[in-house]
Amino acid sequence: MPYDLGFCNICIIAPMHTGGMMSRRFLPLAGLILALSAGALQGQAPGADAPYNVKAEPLSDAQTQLLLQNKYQIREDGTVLAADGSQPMARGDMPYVIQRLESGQRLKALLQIDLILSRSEGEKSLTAEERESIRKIVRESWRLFSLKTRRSFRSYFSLQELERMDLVPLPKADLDEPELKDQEGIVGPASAASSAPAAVAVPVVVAPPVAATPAAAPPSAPAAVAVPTVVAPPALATPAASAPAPALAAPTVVAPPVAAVPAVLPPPAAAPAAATPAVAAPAPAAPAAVVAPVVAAPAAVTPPAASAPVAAAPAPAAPGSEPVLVEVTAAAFEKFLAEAPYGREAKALLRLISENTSFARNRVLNDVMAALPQILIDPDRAGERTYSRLISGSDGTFTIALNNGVVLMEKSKLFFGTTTTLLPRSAKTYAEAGLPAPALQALQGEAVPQKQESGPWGDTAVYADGSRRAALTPEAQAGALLAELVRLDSRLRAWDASPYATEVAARTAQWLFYDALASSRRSDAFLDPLTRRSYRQWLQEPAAYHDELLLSLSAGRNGTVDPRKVDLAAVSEFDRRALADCVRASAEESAYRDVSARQARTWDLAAYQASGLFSSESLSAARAAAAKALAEPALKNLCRPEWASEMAALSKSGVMLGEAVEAEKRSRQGRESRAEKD
Amino acid sequence: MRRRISLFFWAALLGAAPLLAQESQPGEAKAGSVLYLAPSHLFACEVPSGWRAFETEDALGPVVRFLGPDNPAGTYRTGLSVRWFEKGNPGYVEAQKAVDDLRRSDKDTKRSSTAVIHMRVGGLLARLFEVVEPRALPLERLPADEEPIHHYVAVIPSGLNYYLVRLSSAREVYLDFREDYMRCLKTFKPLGR
Repeated sequence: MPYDLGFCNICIIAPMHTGGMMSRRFLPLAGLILALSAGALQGQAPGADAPYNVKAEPLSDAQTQLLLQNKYQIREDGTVLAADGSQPMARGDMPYVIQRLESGQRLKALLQIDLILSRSEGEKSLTAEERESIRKIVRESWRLFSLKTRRSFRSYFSLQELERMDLVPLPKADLDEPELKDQEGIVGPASAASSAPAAVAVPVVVAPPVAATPAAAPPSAPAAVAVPTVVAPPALATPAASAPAPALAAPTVVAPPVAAVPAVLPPPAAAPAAATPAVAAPAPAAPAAVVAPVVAAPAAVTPPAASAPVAAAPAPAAPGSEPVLVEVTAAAFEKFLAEAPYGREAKALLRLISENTSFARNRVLNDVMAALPQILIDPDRAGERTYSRLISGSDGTFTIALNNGVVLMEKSKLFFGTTTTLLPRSAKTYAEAGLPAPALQALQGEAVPQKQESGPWGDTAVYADGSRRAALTPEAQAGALLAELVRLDSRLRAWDASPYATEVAARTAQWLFYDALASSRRSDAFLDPLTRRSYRQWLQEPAAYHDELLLSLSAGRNGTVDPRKVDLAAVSEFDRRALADCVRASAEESAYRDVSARQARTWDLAAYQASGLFSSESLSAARAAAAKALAEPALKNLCRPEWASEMAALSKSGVMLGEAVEAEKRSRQGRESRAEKD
Repeated sequence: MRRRISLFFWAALLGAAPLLAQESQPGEAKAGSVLYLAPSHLFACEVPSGWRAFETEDALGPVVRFLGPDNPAGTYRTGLSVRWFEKGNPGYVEAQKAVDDLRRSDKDTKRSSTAVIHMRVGGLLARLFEVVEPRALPLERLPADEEPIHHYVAVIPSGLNYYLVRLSSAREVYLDFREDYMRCLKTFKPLGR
């Protein structure tokens, strides 16, 4: 049996990663080949940091194909962009990247063969189809297989075939690990950042180590997935942050091999005739400038003296620049609140936030003091949102509308039990959906409740027609307000390239806020049942929480996260392709958004129909109106401007996500260590 | 009364059917699936070819996610996730405790779970079960209804550490993805252990 399934992962796969089983007698030869072909290795050769150029150092066809398959991009000037499209590959890195990709391809081929053999009746009883599948895989990967592996598969081929295949040279020996430089005395980005008190760790998914020896990886641990890279967050005006911040490369995320648009999503329609290439296209931003986002050095702000807390509001930021941060003490914020143009309720919520927020506190309070977003408790403006909504004004102002309660309607199930439907409180929301407000007493302001009931939603007003109205507590509202302030902050700082990263950060702030309140009050009873369930899931079952969050946010009716571009690498790849053919991509994007919005409206109307509160006539009229409405107004520019700005903001989004991850990690570690002590 | 018990019996039997059902024949290759090899070489398994995949790290450690299609109401997307829990990381508990925690039932939240079945996954002994819990969907949008969310869960211990493989979907469609989930498990290769 040429290919033993029992030990294939160890005996065949291991050497291709590690080179550890390579015969010693080949080592001098391998060293000679390496010295001749690759010159000195990374860190030793002059110009190792310079961008690799395929015109100066051509790659083989197979290597070029491999790079392209793995989403690397070869530009016209010969430079090669990393898989996330963020920066050109360094000359010294290229041999290692090629080797890693080849290793991955080799492993994948062996796994595919393993699967075929696992499904078969045994290697001696392979069907013709199975045998041909294996032959095809082996042929395609022959150039990557070592002599030993090639021998294992010789029985699948005729002598004539083997004669031809053996003309393919054996793969070169694995590269050695580059010698590490002595870092003593050199203040690198990581060490500089780690000395800063406000430094945060950012998980940056990187390629697994190349040519790592078996001893390099812990025996029971998987290959390194993510190496947290410590970087300083941008624009933090702490004394340490006045040191020059390291230039951040965009987070490098290895692009997965599966990258298809989910089948359920409607395909983008063909570009309208108005957007044909014949139209003079506005020149897209220069690729080099677009694809290499670098975090701007933080604005040097002299921190206030400790004895004189800041009372004045920070200056509003100039358009296009990041707001400047100052340290906001509780006393300073209290002083600001005394004169701030906010109502009593909004001030109470802001005070709760100031006193109980740990994550992103300084940033959101700076934003409140500088941007003065309007904060309203207004179900009309909150619209179809259960808790809150951030509204951008055309004049650059922001409004945060908070809901103060929900309308509930219970329906009996077919056999037993009831199910609860949550409805918008505002007649305006129904009007926006093209429907009349249902004749529920809980929706009418002047209706008098039949009784007050205490239940999971707290004190709930019950009306004669069975409808209910429940109020949200100030604490629950404050958490929703905090989440909106984090979203506002990411928008003001242009950190919102990834809506998923923004949502993770906003919700991390919210849960940590509730956690602080619940700890001090020894109860989470101040939360409504839906928020309490989410909070407890975040606390007790975080893996399920994170899964459900993404799957809910990326669902069509929610629409917060675009499933085509969830992670930063996908955003980068999507935007890079769009910018390459911007006019056509813009038209296709408009069509895609239009179809998605229509589908979402259809789903909304189906949900209203399921409530049983609307006549078939009013639903038909609403459907007809929804079918006519466009998702967004016609574009002013033929090339969407947001793609270039998203590309520029990628690394900042990564920093924000990293901050949120670190904050959650610290909170969990603190909780676990407290539990151990108890 | 007897009739009601009988109804419950058949309902329970139907509910257990997915896990008791006959597996697909060996050698039967499913069209429309691809072998996914995690970029970090954490694991490999077959996944539906149209699903979007990405690897990331959150507060609990590395995770690979696969995004599938929406449910018919557009309120919840089907998704598969593979996590690696390593001793010393935040959120780590021993595999047996993780199974017990994940299977806990709660009358208040109407959370329920099935019994554990054992299955060999990639040469390791996995514990499989299902969890159902209602959620108000869509998330934080109105109108919203309570919809049961279904999870297929596999805890695959590897020494002190373990993989957690979860397929999450709206309950109305969970049977549509059972085959995809089982294929992932049957072809699962724990490369990192």
